[in-house]
Amino acid sequence: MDPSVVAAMDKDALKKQIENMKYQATMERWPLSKSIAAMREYVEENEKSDPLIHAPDKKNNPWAEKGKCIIM
Amino acid sequence: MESNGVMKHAASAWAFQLGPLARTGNTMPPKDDPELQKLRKELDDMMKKIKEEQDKVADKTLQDICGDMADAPKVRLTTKKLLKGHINKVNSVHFSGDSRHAVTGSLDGKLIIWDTWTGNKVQVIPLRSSWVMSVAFAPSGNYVACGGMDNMCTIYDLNNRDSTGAAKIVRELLGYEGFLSSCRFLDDKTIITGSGDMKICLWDLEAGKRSLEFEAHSGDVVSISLSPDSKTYITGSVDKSCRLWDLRDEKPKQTFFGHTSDVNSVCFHPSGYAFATGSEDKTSRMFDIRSDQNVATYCPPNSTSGFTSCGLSFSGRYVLCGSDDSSVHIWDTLKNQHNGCLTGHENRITSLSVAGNGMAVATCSWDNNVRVWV
Repeated sequence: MDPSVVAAMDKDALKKQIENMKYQATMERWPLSKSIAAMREYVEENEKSDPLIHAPDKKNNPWAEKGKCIIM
Repeated sequence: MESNGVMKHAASAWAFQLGPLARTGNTMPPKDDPELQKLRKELDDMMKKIKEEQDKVADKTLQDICGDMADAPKVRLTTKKLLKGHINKVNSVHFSGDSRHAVTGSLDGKLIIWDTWTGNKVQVIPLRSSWVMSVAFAPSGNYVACGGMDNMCTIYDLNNRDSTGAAKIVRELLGYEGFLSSCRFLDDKTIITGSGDMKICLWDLEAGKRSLEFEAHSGDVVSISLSPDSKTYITGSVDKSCRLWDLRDEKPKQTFFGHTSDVNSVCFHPSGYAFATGSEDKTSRMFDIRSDQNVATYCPPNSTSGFTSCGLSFSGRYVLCGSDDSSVHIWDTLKNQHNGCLTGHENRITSLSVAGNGMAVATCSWDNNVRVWV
């Protein structure tokens, strides 16, 4: 937090900010080794369904240009 | 003074530097009394402790854990639909839950509901105020909301027309003391709004009343992103921080620092345990919720422009940010590699929306156009 912001706070603002940070001051944190690994796992599991990685067939893509012929 | 696509009032950004005192018109510094000193020290100690605890769990980096991954493929998105119709800057775009329709709001005083599959305009809604800054589509597709410098949020029912044939206004949400900068429907009955008066409001649309109203930041709230399970949300603010909230609480769970200028946009990670940002400081970042810290900073090859908007791909592998430089910058979030740019817009991109099915990205710009990238 910007020191200039804290310096300008009145008592009420300071009390409020202290209240706001209480949960965070005592929360349990995951080590980055665990949380980043979990993020990687989630992404890898879902990549096969990510159209930006595995583009769907043209026929399943509603934005793809349609062919010129249609079956009447 | 328009410093970016959200048209923030210059004075509010400046006033933030002086904090709440400036907003009340009192620019005299507070007298240094013992209680004030004590409170300052208490907050300072708390912030130091939090930083220590965050550093303690920083046992590995993104590079350590993801460095051995194969590079992400180059994203091949092109403009499949160039949606023309607005005759002034377009400030906001949002996909419907059906991943097909999208709503845009423009300074021409119109909302347009687009069928992005065909490029057709499904509805054009004339607004009472042309100063629209934010739009939202209800996931159901039944309602859209918009608001801006009119200091209100208006809800339109797309399935009911008024006597002029335009979508009927079903709610006008009043009482804001600042511009409406962001809004998101939780469902057809509930909307959450962020505004220039630094507040978050949760509205019960059936009763037409606020369920909650509280000061959320020490600056304008400019972006809101709901978690995948809709139980929590992230806010981004000109006060340079982001906050995580439980839906029913008036106190944040966690506050995330790191950005050195306005956070213009936030986007929840599909895993529900992280979020990405786009900032005036010309970076995008990834924050992890459980580790309570910034895990990656994404910089473009030439850092010239701020980011106005952001979105994540379906798996979370890519972050996409709309920029003041008229392009969308894309990064591999895990390998922290710039993946390229989507070019086409001829002016600042103000807003970006990734369709729920991850197949399309919609962007809108000061060039008056809307693009759908597939």
